[in-house]
Amino acid sequence: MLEIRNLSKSFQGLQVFSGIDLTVEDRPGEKSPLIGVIGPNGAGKTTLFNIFTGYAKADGGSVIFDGKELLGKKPHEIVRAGLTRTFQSTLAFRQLTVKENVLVAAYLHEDFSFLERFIYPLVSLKLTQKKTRDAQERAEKVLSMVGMLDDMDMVSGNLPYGKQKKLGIAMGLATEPKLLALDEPAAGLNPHETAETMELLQEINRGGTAVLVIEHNMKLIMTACERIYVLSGGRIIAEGLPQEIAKNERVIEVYLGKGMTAHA
Amino acid sequence: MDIVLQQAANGLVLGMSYALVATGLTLVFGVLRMMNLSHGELYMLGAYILSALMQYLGLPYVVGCVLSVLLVALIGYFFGMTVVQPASHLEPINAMLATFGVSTLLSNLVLLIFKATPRMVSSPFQVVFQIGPVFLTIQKLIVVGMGLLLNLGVYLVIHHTTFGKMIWAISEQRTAAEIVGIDTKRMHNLAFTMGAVLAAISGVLVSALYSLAPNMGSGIMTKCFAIVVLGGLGSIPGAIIGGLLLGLAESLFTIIIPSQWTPAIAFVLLIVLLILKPEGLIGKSKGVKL
Ligand SMILES: Nc1ncnc2c1ncn2[C@@H]1O[C@H](COP(=O)(O)OP(=O)(O)O)[C@@H](O)[C@H]1O
Ligand SMILES: [Mg+2]
Repeated sequence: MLEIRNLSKSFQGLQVFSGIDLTVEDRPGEKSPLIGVIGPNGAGKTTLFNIFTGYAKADGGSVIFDGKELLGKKPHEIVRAGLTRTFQSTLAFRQLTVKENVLVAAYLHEDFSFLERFIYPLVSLKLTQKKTRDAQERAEKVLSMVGMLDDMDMVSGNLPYGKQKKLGIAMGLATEPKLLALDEPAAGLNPHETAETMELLQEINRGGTAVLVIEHNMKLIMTACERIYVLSGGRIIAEGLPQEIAKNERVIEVYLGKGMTAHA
Repeated sequence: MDIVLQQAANGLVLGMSYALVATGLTLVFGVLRMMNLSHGELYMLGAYILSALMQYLGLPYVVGCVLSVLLVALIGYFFGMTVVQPASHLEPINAMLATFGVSTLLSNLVLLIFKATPRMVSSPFQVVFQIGPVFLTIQKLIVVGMGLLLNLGVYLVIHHTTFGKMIWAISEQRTAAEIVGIDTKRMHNLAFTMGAVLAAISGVLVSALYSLAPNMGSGIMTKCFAIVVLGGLGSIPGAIIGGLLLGLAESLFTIIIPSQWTPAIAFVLLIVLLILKPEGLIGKSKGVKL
């Protein structure tokens, strides 16, 4: 589904990473992959996401998604191709309610023809009713999945931080991605919310959406993910099952040797 | 009394032409969160291209109007794509300066080609008729009618179409709009072009009422600043009300004060309003709801 090959990136001559390979497999008929990316702060995890979602340019390498090259594509084209991401910080339309936010994502991410864009909504509601109804249904499904039906009518700007992060995931889901890429969905959350988020990721994944998640919290990622990539010093230093990663000496060195705890 | 009615009618016509230009300006501001300083020049270009098409190609007024608006739309799209869109990623002040560059380029280009001599455009609709004591021309009615129609159209597009919702989403939270799959660059360019079209339409309509000069763009821009501040930046009804108010005030005050003072009226109105009601006449629009 997603094949990152030999990807490299530098900022003003300073190498962030090089030779990055990362795969999210297509497994039709089987459980969708749930894959983790970990690494110390500044390792380049967000930069990696930025590159394959159209927010930053790569120096070299390729990113194939569903057989098509993603490098050079714009963010909205990548969303429409079926790869949606969330950001480390919360991002929503702060004046709108939770439901409206999800509706925006459910409704507007599609490609509209000129007629659909300008004329149909003016002359007849019927012609847009199907799209609207579909979007409504999808929004409600997504909200029930993330457990936010009760907060549906809250203005999103007034939500507590934990719920704002959840809303970000809900908006991503509403665009119906094949692959959902999450940048530290649990950062800044309390332990209870963190556990909830991990359960949510697993539920999304069981629903048939592939998930690629950046996470700082080792324990969390160990329990949820089936495979983990460790990014450090500009390289993938380890890749494998959670139990293999937990025993990997270089990983332990990076994570524990430098004074970081497993809960960092 | 008759002169008051006559001046009120003239003021309405003038005000509607202001409202059209101001709506385009406020629309672009609403979307790009940036003052488009080249807006007045797009208005001026509408008038000048029309006058050139009529003079050099012998085109009739209506055909010239349509062609001129189309050409300005292309020019607007071009500058939107090459200058404004790339600059919109920068600080708002840099983006604004970029549009100032476009403005200088266009007004000097027109000055170079057409020189500073005022030009006139004649329309077949300058037929005079009388309602009671008030003299009007068909052209003036067209200005008012088109003004109402276009402003209503823009309002509907912004508040009741999918395009409007996308535009709103972008102006509210650009990255959020991007990650839910909206083509933000294309929407930006479309909105900028829409602004250019409104300016050009106003330019071609008004060209038959007032004489043209290469600096007419900066003249109307100072008024539009006053109008959009009066009406609330980004508010379309505000632009219409502000435009009409200023047109009426300028027109009516010429009865009691010498006409060389009219340019000051916009600023007097503005200062009075800023003291009394600093949030604008009707405040900022709340945006679009789904
Ligand atoms: N736009 C940028 N310009 C210059 N340097 C950047 C930029 N974005 C990230 N960096 C640098 O790239 C490195 C990786 O950053 P990032 O991808 O955010 O790491 P992570 O998400 O793993 O914490 C850091 O050293 C950061 O300072
Ligand atoms: Mg990061």
